[in-house]
Amino acid sequence: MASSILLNALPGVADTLFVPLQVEYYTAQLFNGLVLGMILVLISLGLTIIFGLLGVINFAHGDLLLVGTYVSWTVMDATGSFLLSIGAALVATLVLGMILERTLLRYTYGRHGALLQLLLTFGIAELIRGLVILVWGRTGKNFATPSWGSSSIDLVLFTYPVYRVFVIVAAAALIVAVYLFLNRTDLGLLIRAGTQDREMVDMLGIDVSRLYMLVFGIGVALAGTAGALIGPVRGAFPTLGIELLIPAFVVVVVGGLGSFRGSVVAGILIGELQVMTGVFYSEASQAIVFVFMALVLLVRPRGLFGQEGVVE
Amino acid sequence: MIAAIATRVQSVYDRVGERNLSYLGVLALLAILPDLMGAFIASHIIVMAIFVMGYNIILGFGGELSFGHAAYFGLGAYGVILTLEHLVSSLYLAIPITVVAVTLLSVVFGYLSLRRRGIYFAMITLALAQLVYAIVFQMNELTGGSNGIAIPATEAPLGPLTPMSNELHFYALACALFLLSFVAIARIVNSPFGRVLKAIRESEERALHLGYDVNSYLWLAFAMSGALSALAGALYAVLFVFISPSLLFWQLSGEVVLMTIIGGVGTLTGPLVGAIVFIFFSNTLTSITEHWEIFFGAVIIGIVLLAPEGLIGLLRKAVLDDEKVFDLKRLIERLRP
Repeated sequence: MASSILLNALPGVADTLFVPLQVEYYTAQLFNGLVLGMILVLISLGLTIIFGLLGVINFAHGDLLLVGTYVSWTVMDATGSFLLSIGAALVATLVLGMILERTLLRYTYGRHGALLQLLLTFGIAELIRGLVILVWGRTGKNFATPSWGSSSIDLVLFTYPVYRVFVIVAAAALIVAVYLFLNRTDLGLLIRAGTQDREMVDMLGIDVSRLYMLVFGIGVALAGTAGALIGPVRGAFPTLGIELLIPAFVVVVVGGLGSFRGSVVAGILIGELQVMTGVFYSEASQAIVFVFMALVLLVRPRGLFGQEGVVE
Repeated sequence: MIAAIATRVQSVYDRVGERNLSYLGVLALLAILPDLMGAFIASHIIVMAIFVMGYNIILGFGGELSFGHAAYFGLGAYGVILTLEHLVSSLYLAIPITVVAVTLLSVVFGYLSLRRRGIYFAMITLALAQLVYAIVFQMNELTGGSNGIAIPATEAPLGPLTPMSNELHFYALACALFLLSFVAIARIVNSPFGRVLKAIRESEERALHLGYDVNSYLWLAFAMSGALSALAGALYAVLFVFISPSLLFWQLSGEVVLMTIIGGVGTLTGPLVGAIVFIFFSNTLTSITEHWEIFFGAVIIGIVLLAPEGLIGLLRKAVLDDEKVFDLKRLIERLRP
């Protein structure tokens, strides 16, 4: 860590002073970018599949992620089992998402248009963050890395924390699982069909409203799991959700809303961009993401993988 | 007796007309607000009403939902303070300089955001606003970072008024600017420009096929709304003296949407109504509980599900059969015995 502080403080000098550390340091940072990128992929995949079928951009996504983080923290605190805590976060947010869809969102379909749906999810976001603060407090919680993950693994060129390798692997497994679910199962087929043409699926006698509930639940659960995974890396605090939601929006805009491939590619790209910019010029690490988004919008307004007319 | 009064009211209504009547209502509200809630809260309401009025140009008349207007409001507030600190010493120079600068930024951001419509537009405006937030947060030395910044103490006399030190004087200044903006917007929305804007709101495709340069119209509307938001932000800094980066956060962007909807989207008097209800409500709430997010969220959910046309819409629905047109004549007909 000492080297990273020095490197950030002396960006120009660092190149000449720390030659032996460089390869190791930069490779580790590349992996850090991948960690952030994978988390962003999970969040924006959830946003994308919800948008694809329901036509709703879920502003509450970040605060539902927060629920995942805090549920995981609580279970971890009580049982000491991190795997159990991830499972709990997944199930809790899945159920919460399905309840929200059933009790609130479903009343807005078709009736009011996008404006009020956006505002509704914004209201849900505020409500949930308020409840999280009520239950767990306004100050952050220190999220301990599970004992098996606190050591470092030797990856030939450099050593890297085991836990972060786990995050990358777990997120990748989840992404593949979602891909297989959407492309290899009957339910996934229905969801993709609904994304193409909701009315037609409805007319074929399939209960689209239950499909909506399921997809919203799955999308939210992806965010909740991402929240549990990122917990030991970032800690648990009330604005974590919004902090991750905004770059996820950028991912969705850059990748193209409704595109699975777009979310994956853009998510990793944005994660790397943010972290690597931080390495060379830390002041710009936040801004660079938005500058990149602006460039993509200028050159290719529909996003890298977006299809014309699918969204608007 | 009632019939006589109703007839009298109707004849007044016929002579004055609904629009003028609502203008008179606005003037009456402005006159009694400081007595009702005190000069400070009344001033806060007027400042927010200017903000909502500006926001209403792009949402209410242009039909595009921006989720990033906190950026222009917050930069208006930061801008006036930084201009006073580093550029000029007169408040009445600092405000126009700030408004012009922020408007230029909104021109750039507007260009980017208007590359897309609908949900994309909302997300892009939000992302750009968060960019501004991140930058202001990071530029510690200039902006005070998370600690915020205070406006330099100056007298700033304006004729006989001293808005910097006297709350009632500030209120008078804010009201004057509010009325000025009000008249300007009333004229703009009824001008050919305003009509095209409303046509775009109703059907962008149709306006496009009629040969209108849709993007330029929306772009201009976006810049106008940025300018008014910046003005409101600058006034906010003068009123509150101390400001923090939360003025740039997405929460405020959501609040302005909410105020617009409470008052009624795309109406002239709605912004004032929305600001009164919201500021009164949020002040009461923060004095009662520290968990205001819960209530704030619940109220938004309630409004979206129960009263999406806003309070005025709700009122119309409760009193009239026809929810689309506010017809005082019919109301009086029904009151007639």
